[in-house]
Amino acid sequence: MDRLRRLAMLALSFGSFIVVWHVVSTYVVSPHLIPPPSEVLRTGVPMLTTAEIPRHMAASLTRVAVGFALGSTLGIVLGVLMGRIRVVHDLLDPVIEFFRFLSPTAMIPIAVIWFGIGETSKYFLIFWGTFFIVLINAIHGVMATPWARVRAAECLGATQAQIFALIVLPSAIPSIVTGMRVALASSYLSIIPAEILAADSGLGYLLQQSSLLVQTNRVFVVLAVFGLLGYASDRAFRVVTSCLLSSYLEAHATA
Amino acid sequence: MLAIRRLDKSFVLRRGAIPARVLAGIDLDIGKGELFCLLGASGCGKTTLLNILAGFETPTHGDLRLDGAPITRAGRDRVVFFQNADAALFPWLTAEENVAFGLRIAGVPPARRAQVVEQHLRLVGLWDDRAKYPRQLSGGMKQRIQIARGLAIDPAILLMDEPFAALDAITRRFMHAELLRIWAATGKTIVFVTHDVGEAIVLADRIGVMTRGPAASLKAVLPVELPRPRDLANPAFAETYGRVEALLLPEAGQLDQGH
Repeated sequence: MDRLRRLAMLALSFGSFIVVWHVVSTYVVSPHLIPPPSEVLRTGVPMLTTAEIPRHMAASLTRVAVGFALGSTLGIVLGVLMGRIRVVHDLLDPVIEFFRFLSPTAMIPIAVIWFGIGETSKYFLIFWGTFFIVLINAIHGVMATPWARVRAAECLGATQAQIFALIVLPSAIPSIVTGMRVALASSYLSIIPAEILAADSGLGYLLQQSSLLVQTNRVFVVLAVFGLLGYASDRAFRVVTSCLLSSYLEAHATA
Repeated sequence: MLAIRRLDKSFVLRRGAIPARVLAGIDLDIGKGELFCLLGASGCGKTTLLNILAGFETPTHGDLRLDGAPITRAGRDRVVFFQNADAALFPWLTAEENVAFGLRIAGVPPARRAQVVEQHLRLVGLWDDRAKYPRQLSGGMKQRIQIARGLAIDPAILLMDEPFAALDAITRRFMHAELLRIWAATGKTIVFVTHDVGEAIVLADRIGVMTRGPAASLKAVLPVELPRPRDLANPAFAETYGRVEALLLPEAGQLDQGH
């Protein structure tokens, strides 16, 4: 019943959005500015079937996947070290607090100088947008491990290595997963500007090309595809993490 | 069994500040199998004393021995039970896995481990709930899991830091009866920290009443000679209550002056 209601609300939410869109584009503004949904669909189907969209989508997704994986991995490793080892934290924290305010967009010019417009610069930019978010959440997760939990394990005979692996890391998982989820959204926010400014493939590139040629319909198709992609990625991330890590994540839901 | 001699503890709260003296000249002997309650107002340093006994903190001065061996760090012979079971339990492990934790890291073979875990889950009456996670258990059940987890590694002494203070009054009464039953069944030495006079009288063989901090010490150590189970409605209980509270109350006057 709950599931049915959720599905119904989902359909209703998107359904009413499309209706409003249709009304606005038909009766309020010029279809050259906002093409109606039917028009976008008519443009979109061939773009999907001729592999134009799939090709660019694959390019963008690969960049997000590689950059996100790199950023998350390094963010978790360094974050756990910083959360656990005081001197590492105190040494790196000021520098990180400086760099994390340089957004991926701010790093595009230097990425192009360093890595050109090839894949490496995009990997770097997504990495940049992922790393700091995961890092800060990992540090927090490790540091927020309750004292009582660590001391209880100590009483039960755990060595420092066991406390780290069996108590501190599991305690940090919910925070790390939250960080990764925010970072995934941030990856989607960074990939478009990166591809608009410095790429010859990807959804951002397609968006830019369509805009230069004033192909409003095509711009809308790409935006719709991109929105759905981000939405689907987030859902997939949640499903995968809650399947793999359910006991760690639910454990904290009520604690 | 547990011998505390001239124990002092000071903390440096700020760099350059004069160290704050929390405990001053504690002398205490606790016998094997004894249930000893440390009673004192909040902030008097009784948890600090417990943490020193546990080996989490080191005393500034003084001598501390368990069966003749000096206490320098945390060890499997002394298990602490925390007030906040949500924090102290491992929430990603089931009740059974929580109880098995100390045995698992000590490398106890699975067959033997399963046997010890079952014995202790039955002892605290939660065998049927063994597959549940802490979040699926009530506050009193969580404390019983914490007790089973500590007892499973067979420590010499149980250090309990207001373990029932966060429970409702009815559950707390039940847990007192449970603790006394478990104590009778295992014969463990227990140091039980509390600020509740009634709780101390219900449980203790002896009550160590602490002075109000800073620089707290033991004001008196009173044996409680009432037969168990102890009945709150018994006039002798009320008389003991009055006597213990009188030890705590005169100092309450310091609240007006000092704070």
